Amino acid sequence: MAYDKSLIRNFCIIAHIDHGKSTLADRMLEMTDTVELRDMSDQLLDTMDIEKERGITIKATAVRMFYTHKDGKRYMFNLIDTPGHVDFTYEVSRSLAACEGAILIVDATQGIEAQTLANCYLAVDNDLEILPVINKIDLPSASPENAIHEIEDVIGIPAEDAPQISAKTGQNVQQVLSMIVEGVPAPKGDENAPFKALIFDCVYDNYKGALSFVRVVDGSVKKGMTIKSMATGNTFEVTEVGIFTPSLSPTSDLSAGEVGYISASIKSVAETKVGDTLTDADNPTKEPLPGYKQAMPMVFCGIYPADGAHYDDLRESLEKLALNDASLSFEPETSVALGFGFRCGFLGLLHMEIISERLEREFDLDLVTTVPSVVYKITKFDGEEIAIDNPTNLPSVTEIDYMSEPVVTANIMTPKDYVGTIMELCQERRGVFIDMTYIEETRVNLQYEIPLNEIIYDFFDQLKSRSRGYASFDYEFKEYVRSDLVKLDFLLNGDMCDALSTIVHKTKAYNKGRAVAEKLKDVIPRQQFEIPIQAAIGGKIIARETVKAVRKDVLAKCYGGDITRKKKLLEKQKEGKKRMRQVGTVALPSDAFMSVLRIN
Amino acid sequence: MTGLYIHIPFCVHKCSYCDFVSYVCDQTVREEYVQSLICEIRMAGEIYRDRAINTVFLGGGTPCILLPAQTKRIMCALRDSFNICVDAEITVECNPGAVDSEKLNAYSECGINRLSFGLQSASDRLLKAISRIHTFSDFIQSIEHAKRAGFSNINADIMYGLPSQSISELAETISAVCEMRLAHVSAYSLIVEENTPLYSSLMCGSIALPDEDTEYEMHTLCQKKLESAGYRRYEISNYAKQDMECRHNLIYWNSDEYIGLGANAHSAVWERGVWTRYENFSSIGDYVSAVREGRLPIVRREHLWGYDAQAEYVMLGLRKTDGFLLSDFEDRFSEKFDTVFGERLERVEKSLYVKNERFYLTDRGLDLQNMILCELL
Repeated sequence: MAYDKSLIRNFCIIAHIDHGKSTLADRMLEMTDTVELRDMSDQLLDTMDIEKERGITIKATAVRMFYTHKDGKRYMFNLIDTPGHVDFTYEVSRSLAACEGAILIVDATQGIEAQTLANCYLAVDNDLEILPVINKIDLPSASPENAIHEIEDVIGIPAEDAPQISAKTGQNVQQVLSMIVEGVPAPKGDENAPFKALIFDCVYDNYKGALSFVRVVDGSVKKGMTIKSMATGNTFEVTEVGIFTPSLSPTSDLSAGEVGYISASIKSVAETKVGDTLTDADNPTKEPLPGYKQAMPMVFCGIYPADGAHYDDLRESLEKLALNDASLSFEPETSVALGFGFRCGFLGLLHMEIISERLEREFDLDLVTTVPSVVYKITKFDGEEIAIDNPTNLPSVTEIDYMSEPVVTANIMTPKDYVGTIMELCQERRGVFIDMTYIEETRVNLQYEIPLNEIIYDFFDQLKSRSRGYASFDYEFKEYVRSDLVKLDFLLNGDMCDALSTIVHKTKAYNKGRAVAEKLKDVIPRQQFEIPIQAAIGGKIIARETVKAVRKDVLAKCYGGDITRKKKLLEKQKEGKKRMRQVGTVALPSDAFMSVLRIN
Repeated sequence: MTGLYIHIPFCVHKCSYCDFVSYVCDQTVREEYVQSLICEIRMAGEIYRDRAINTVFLGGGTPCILLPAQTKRIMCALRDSFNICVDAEITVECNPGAVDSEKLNAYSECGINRLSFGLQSASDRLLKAISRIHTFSDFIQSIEHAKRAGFSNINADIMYGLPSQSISELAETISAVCEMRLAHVSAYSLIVEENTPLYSSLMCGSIALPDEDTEYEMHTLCQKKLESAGYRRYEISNYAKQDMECRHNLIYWNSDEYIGLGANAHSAVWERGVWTRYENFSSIGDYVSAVREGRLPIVRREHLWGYDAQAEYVMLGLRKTDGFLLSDFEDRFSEKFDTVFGERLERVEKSLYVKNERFYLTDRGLDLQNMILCELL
């Protein structure tokens, strides 16, 4: 039996990191008795450890709740959780396409942030009804009036009647539930038309295989039906349909307007594609749904197993992660220093950190990550144009006519007291000032055009520390701009270490080379011989440091007959040595490759 | 060669850097322990009666904490149960200031012929800093007593790399020791072990150790000063006047047999053609109750053969400045050293070792022994 469409509400929540999205979701789950209180663990929707620790939502998740409104009717709520960070715009947009409304949470102590705005515009683009909610009114520093003004001024939607809540204490959350019934439109669509559904996410379940998370637009789907992917033309038999409660619960069918999962005889997640339209193989719909814009990886780095023997494990793990993260790309590459690994593409630096952390935690891998790079465009004298995402692949200088780098438009929202220091930061990062507008009396939106390679390392950290955590930041790709770039190489004891090479702006090469050489001097342990560290542009050495030879490495202690202790110490030392990477004659600790990034 | 090691796990006070098995206990516990030790000596004697014992070492802890009568009973039990050679080297570890003439005469009477003093430093300030309970004048007095009691084979342990220690303080310590014309000096570098008060102080930053370069300077200073005073460096941290090397410690480095008795004592013996290590219980309670029940108080045993035994032989042998005889390696393992390690030897820089009849490390090689072993083993 199809659920009455007029009683279905599909919505998502848009919020800045830490503004209380997952907490609000938790309260709603409790108030609708979807989960028993005893099953509640804080922030239930965030199932990954990393999400709980970092307090952010990475993967979109969905949950079904039932709510009895004051009109006496029982409404079906499908909440589709969205990630809040700038790197995950792609994930957000795919969640939005499955909803009719979006709850916009604004922190009453912080106001609107750059990312909130970016996601809000996405929601508007997707024709979603936006329902503002003012959160954290329980905090002494809360200023709901300011938040309301910001919403009205910046986003341009009325917010006077927005519920003022505390997701933490549950105060006024009931108003949010009523607002969803009254404010979010019921799904349109025809349950009698041929089955048509949008895949908004895919996961791999160890028991059920590849699962497609779908929003049914027309018709219905049930077990035994043969469905067809409109992108590939492949057909599958449906083995199970179900909903999220928030765990997977099978149901008899899913019909127009509903959100749920489909398990079919799909062997690998690669066969299902997020954004694809599923339809009835016997009675197909005519037109597929619009789908999504493919996310473009912006940041690339090499990921290598710390122990070369784990190359295959790394490949399998990346394949599994890529199943439900279409924005992650990877292909094999080889490095003289690091052996066999993968060149991976990410949406941004946070995405990169999260993927490498997930690889290490969920798949128990020990990794070496190299300096991230953006994609540069090279125009050769012979007219050929190539794009490179690894500095090692840069052609010889004599072949290059000119190089271009990606530039982004960055929006930075900050209290006005920090404008000076933030402008200074943007200037340092080769930013070009575009605009400055007052959001309200004390808050400013700064717009800059900044080369992407200037912000992928530590720009965000710098921004946070310079503004005591108050500034927020969002960026989008603008264009490729011709730029005076050089490749900066590092030589250890005369051997070039390809994994340390970077492409930098000519004006920055000298300082960067010096700083990295100094840093390397600290992270490379003393070895049997003296190690010269050289920074070079082309053939020219621009900086030099030296790691002195180790003078003494011996146990000058008497352990008497207890040989085992000496042996254990030696084993430990050998173990440590194993984790080092041999670059020519020099042993490098695996964290050396990333630590060169952390330069002030 | 076979040695006997007797562990006396008692101290008046625990030093801040020490992580050896040692407890602060009263006389009742000590007496109970001595009784158990004598029982273990008798049990072990049954097993190893065929061995000629070349060295005996009473170590700790602080063995001189025992009453003269207790030490005598232990020595008697050893002589009753083992075949101790007439010319055996018999050492007891002593704390400066903790041995008087009576105690020293008793040692002499029961055949003890070597004393090893834990001096550590001639600076009272540093001694206090590492919570030693003696002073330098205690040490001078103890040495005088010892010489009067007829001891000529005496060792002093000194330490370098102590918190806040200066090069000149170390130089003064070495000079003071050299003046006393002792037979033997051991110069150890301070190794900070986890689970010691020193480790905690270091972690919380209330003390600081000399930096890597200063520590190395101290290490070379020891070598230079001791060698010019007529001592020969025969092991990484051991120096002796001619023919006064510690025969007991050489047993460890030569991979010869030793039988360890007492709590936490370690043994290494050839049994039915297999190199076997034993380790005794480290808690006094477990040790005493095992012996009371008539069992050997062994908590762990390990058999070593093939490459493991070879690697251990190399690890220990390379601590000696003379290294080891290639023929001895071949005799023991019926394999040529080059066949086993030849390929790995190439990884170690040539200037770090010498290979002739013997395989040994150069001075620079000795300084980098851990690195070499990591490459080699």
